[in-house]
Amino acid sequence: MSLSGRNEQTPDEETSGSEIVIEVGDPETGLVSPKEMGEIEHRLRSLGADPGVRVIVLRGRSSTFCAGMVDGPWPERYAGRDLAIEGHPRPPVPQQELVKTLFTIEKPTVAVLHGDVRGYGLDLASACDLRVADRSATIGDGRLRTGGGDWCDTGITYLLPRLVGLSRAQQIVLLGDTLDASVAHDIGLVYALADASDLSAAVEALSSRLASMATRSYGLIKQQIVGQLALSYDMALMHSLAVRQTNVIEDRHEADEAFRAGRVEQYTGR
Amino acid sequence: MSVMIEEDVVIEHLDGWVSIRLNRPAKLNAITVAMHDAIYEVVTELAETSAPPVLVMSGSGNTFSAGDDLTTTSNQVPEQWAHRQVGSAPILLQAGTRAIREYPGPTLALMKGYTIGAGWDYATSCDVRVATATCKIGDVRVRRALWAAEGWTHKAPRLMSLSAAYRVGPTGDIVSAAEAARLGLLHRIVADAAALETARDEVLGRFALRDPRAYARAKRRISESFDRSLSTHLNAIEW
Repeated sequence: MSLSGRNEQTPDEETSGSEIVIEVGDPETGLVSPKEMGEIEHRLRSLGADPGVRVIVLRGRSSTFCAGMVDGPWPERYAGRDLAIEGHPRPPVPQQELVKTLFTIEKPTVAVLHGDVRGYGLDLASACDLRVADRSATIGDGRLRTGGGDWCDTGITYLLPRLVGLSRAQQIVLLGDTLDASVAHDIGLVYALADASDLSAAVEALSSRLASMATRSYGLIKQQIVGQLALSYDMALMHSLAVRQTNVIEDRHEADEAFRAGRVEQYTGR
Repeated sequence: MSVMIEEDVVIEHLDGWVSIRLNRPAKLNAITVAMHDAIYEVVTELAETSAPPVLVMSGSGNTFSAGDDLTTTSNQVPEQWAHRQVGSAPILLQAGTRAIREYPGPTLALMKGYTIGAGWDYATSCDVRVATATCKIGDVRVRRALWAAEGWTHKAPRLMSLSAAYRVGPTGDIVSAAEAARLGLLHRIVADAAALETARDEVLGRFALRDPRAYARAKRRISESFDRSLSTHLNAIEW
């Protein structure tokens, strides 16, 4: 897996077998457009359905993971939902569709955070399972500022309170505080920190480890975590039993055989 | 079941509290379906008493529990559960941990050594968690290509946070006590197993100051609060 960037404004993708890297944002500004959101979302859907895909890494093309979003033409498939009303912002359909797909995809997802992660970049990072950050990265959300005000309704108001607690979410979204990567790590938002020079190696090591895991097992655990955020405990137990009884994990056989043989598992991810 | 209770799960009625001790130290207190059933039986019985005592869960030897005993299978499920058993679904593990989580009295987990898998399920079902500094904590079922359908996927994001749930759950990571405390899972860290008893007595002293009915009510309502709006929550008060 290489983390070298490409200067194109379409979702670059580099694959090393089962490890997928998707690059986001304009190479100059770090902003992501509705067109690019739609392309990434479309690509994620097919990756999610591909049993050969074991991990998906999102990283920025520019000097930041993602600095936010910029308006522009929408992907054709959303055209019927562009219900713009004079004096109001366009509905955030491409933004929401990408965040929903990213948050629920049954694959391990990792966001690589560097530079100043802002606005919709924070939504994208928060929709991933794990975040690895350059120690010098900063993380914040300036969308409520006067003049540049945005409606902040692309996922962060749901994701951030759950990721870091309501109080920290208020600090970041409402107060507008910017966090250093080390603070983001301390509060659990960032899974691992690395120096800039070591960031690619750290991400590759994590990606490689995740790609060797029983991906179907990971995906089903993720399906339960995500789905049960909005369920009562009673319903969550029922949901777990339903997931357990309606999904086959082929790697179960390998787990048992490796256990009996006393060797390391060689999972296929199925 | 009485043999199991005496051998693999030791239940002791003490002064104001009941000890539930996992007692298979040679197997790192790996929990069998019969042990889940024993825990379920005793906890549901105590829950129906007029003054439910404090429950203290612990493990014999050097560990709390290293997880499910994967050598026991669904055909060993006690007769009374057979009608609900489909395949190897974790019916009894859900029942045991649910009985602890919904127990109206205070519950305390004393964690040492490994608190993994089913041990993690029981610890995250208790109200208060105290661990030794060397305790290792995690789910790790993903390492065995399992489903993790026991209930922690609901509890962990609420006990800690969504980011912490990913940290401890699907990644298969085992975290230190210090890391678990940082993530909000532990309420006390003590130096060693001997200090667990001192911490237990301190927590029991705190529990003794709580009004049992108020405690039961607050405990239930804290757990329920995540799943509804404040208005719905306030309107749902039962008198």
